[in-house]
Formats: sequence, C-alpha cells, structure tokens
Amino acid sequence: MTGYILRRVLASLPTLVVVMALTFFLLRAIPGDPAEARAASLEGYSVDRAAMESLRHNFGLTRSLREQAIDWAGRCLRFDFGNSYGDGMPVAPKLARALWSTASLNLAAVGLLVGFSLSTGTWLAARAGSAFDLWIGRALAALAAIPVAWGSILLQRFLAADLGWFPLQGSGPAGLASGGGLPLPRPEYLCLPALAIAYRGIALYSPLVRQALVQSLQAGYLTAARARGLPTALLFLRHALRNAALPLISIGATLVPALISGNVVVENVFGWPGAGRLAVEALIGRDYPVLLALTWVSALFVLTGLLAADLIVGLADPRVRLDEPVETSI
Amino acid sequence: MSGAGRLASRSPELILLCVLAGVCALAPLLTVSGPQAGPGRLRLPSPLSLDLDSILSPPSARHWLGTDSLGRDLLSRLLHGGRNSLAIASGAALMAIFIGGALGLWGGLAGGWSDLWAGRLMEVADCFPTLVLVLAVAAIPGGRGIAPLMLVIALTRWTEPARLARAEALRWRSTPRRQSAQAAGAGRTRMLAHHVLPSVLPLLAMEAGVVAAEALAIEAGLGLLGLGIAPPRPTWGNLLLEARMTLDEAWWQAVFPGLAIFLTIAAFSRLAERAGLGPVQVSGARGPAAAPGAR
Repeated sequence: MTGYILRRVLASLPTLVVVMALTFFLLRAIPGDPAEARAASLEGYSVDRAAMESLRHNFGLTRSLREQAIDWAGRCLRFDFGNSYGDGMPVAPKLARALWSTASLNLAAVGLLVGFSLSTGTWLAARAGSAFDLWIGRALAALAAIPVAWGSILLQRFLAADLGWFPLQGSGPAGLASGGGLPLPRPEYLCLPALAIAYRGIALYSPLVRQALVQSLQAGYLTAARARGLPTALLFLRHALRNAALPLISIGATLVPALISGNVVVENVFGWPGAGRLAVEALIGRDYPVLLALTWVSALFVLTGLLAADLIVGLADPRVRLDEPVETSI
Repeated sequence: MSGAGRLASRSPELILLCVLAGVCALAPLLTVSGPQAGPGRLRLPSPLSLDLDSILSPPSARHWLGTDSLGRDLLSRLLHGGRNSLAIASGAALMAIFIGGALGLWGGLAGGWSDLWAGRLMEVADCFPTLVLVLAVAAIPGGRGIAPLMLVIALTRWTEPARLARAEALRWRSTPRRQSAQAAGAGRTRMLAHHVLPSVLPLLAMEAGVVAAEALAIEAGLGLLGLGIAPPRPTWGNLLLEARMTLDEAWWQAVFPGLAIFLTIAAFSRLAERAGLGPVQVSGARGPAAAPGAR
C-alpha cells in the first residue's frame, strides 16, 4: 500500500509541473496586465505612465519570464505566495480565509448530502415497488436535472427573499469583522449555499442508496434475521445498511473531487467569501499571485482527492487490487 | 403502430429534444427585424430590438413570455438563446467524445508508455483551472463566441469519455476474443474497427448525452457569472444573468429560461440513461451495460 501511494505521488509530480507551467504562461498570454487592471479599478483617477511602470516594477513583471517562472516555482514549494496585486496584502492569509470558508461550506454540503441521501434512500427502500417509491424516484430524477445556476437563484428568491427564512447572501457579520483568525461560519448563512451545492448530489445519490439497500435486503441472511424476529429498524441499521455501504462508499468517493471544485456559481450567487469568489475576483483584476496560489492549492486538492478516492475504493472493496497496474492506474 | 408513433411512445424525451431543437433552429425564420410582432401572423420581434414602451412587462398577448428590462421580447430571446445554447452543448459534447474517445482508446489499446501519457494528460485536464481557461479564451479577440465556448467546455469535459473508452479497451484486451482475433491474424485497424469500436461507441453515445447535459449546466453557470458568450447575444445562461438582476419584479425572466434549461437537461440525461440501461447488444459481446452511476 505504501509503495502504491508513493508511486502515485511520484507519478503526479509531472502533472503538477505541467499544470502550473500551463497556467503561468497562459496567464501571461492573456491580453491586459495587472498594472492596467489596477489603474482601471481606481475610477476617477488618472494613472500616468511612470506610475504604471513603477507598479509593474514592484510586481516584478519587468524581469524576464524565465526568472519569474523560477521565482514562482520556488514560492509554490515554500507556500509563500507574496502579496496580492489587488490590495497589496499577503496572499497566504487571504487564501487561508477563502479556503476555510469554502471548506466549511463544503463540509456542510457533504453533511446534507450524506444525511438526506441515506434517510431518503432507506425510506424508499422500505417501500420499494410502491407507487410512492416510483413517484419520489421520478421527482429525484427531475431534481437532478435542475442546473445549479437556476437552482441557486430559485433558492435565494423563494427561501430568502420571499419567505425570509434565511439571509439573502454573505456569511454574516462575524465573517466581516474577523481580522486574522478563522471564524466559524454562522449556520443561518451556511444553510442556503450548502443546500444549493448539495441538492443535485442528494438527487443522484438517494436512488443509489435505495438500490444498494434493496439488493442487500434480498440476501438470505436478512430473511434469516427477519425470521428470528429482528425489528425492522435494527434489520436496516445492523444488516442491510452495513452491507450496502461498500458500493455506496466507492461511488461516494468519486464525488469528492467534484465537491471541492464545483461551487464557483454558488459562492458568487450567495456572496460566500470562498475560493470560488476569490478566483473570479482575481481573474478580473489579473491578480497573478492569487491566481497561481489558487491553482497550486486546488491542483494539490484534486490530485489528493483522486488518490483518496482510489484508496477508499481499494480499502472498502477487497476485489480491487490497487497494485495491479492494469486495474487502476489512472 | 406507425414508426413515428412507436418512437414517440418509447422515447418522449427524444421527441421533446427534437421539437425544442427544431423550434430554436428555426427561430430566425420566426422573427421579424423590428420590435413589433409581425402583422396578424405568428412572427416574433427581433431578440435584440428594444421596445421602450413595454419594459419588464409580464406575459401578455403582445409579448407571450413578457419582456426584459430593455423591453426585449423574452420568447424571441429564449428561442434565439436556445439556438446558441443547444449549439454550444451539442458541439461541446461531440468534441469531448471525439477527443476523449480517441485518447482513451489509444491509451487502452496501445498500453505501456502510450497509456501512461494518456493518463497523465487526463490528470492535467482534471487539475487545470477551468476559469483560467475560460478567461484566457475570452480575452482573445472574438473569443467570446459560440465556437470558443464549445472548445473550452470540451477541453474540460473529455476526461470522463476517455476513462470509459480506456476501460472498455482494457476489458477487451483481457478477453479471449482478443487472442483469437490476434491468432486469426487481425491487424490493429481491423481489431479496432470490428471488435473494440462496436462495443465502445454505444458507451460513448450514452456519455455524449451526459456531457451535453453538463455543457448546458456549465453554459448556464458561466452566463450567470457574466463569463459566457458576449452579451447582447442571448443564450440561456445570459438570460439567467438578466433574470438575477431583476429577480424582485420579473419572475418570468427567471422561470422560462430556467424551465427551458431544466427540460433539455432532463431530456439529455434521460436519453443517456436509456442508452446505458437499454439492451445494448453489439455482436453479442456485451453483457448488461453498467448503470450510469456505477463508474
């Protein structure tokens, strides 16, 4: 196992280098430079040529591309990303705050996903074959087809604006007031964006839970347990769910990378101060340090996620042999 | 039962898609150039012409689905937007299937270093920040059109088809059929064309539906962020952006474009699901196809 992990990590190193190099040079190839973006953000002030030049010099953009690239590689390895071009603040704490917000949002979303899927799936499995089962199944399929862009607008409109159950957007006053520390997000602000991230997953995952349960309910040992007079609740918890867990974990593990990367839209609609919103702001302001730092961290996350998914599948399913190259090498 | 009737009863989602795509494709024929609907006929106003007398007017006889904040007819914008969005989605799906299928088959069949390279390419594509790619392409002159967006979506979505094709090629390589084909003296081309492609193509067709649905969702998201194709041109995503800005006063702007995206995504996913679960029998090689979620 250790050997496998080591080999996977080593094999991912070229991927990281290529991704970072591509991002670096692609960013430089985009027309428009950070000094101009900074000047454009100071509306009403005219910035003269000399000031622009000195900005560029301060940003280190006057050096050769090769020097800048080498400088960047070193910074990535040290996790020292310098200062943002936008407000001159250090990138690392900015990034840490954004990632913390995103992580807490995703954690809440995963909680909703697992909780709702398991309960809905169990509920449906207990009524498998009924008209109720059929119609809820159809409703879930429809729910899965609602794109997140539309779903989040609707959630915001109906649950926040019309009914007033949740705040419209933002992460609450605590989020704003925090200087250095990482504040716990307020639950009422967390609910809607987490739901917007999770609802499609719930719609896709519940039928899988149901199916796995229905299959394991047909097993002989369950008939035996039922014959022994085991109460239905225990039957589900102790026997069916446990044996259904295997395929569920392996499918669930493949959802993890998507959860980490897939919420730019939600964060922007709900004004959540996470990595997705930071990325859009940085792109518009041509804030290279922030962008490269984000790319670096998210590439690390995606690669770790892919590896973790394979490892979890390997641990949960004894039939999968991670060490056989034909079976699983990505 | 006639052929068309049988098709309709077996696959209503295919009919829905065809009707939607057909109406959207014919949108230019249904519109006049000015702000007013054509006299006495079912001709819509142009999607770009302003009607400042009826700004944000709710659905009425004059504007069937209402108007936006500039008085542009929503039905007309919805149809023209659908034309653009459906073109982006189907083009992106075809491109992704083509790139992914080719690379996956190459890696799976050739094995060794080729497989390693194909695998690394997939990893790079999975790690590459989509937004950076979107902005880089958008910054090129003429980069905020339909074809560039198609390409961007295809470049971020080809890895799943590639994994499918690779897995299927690997599966085939480990069957006795491969040995017998080899023993019978079949060359690479023959093995690809007669043995592997027939079992990979149905899978890729299924995946095309999935990618098309994803592409529509991505376009909607990018449009909502203001990063889609350049505005006055309508797409379903761009309509959502306008909807978000006038959410309090104009429900019709959020409801109709959203419904259109929803129905199309549902139809695409359902088609993909059927293709995956249906009796796929290709030269008797395949057992029951894998369920779409089981990858």
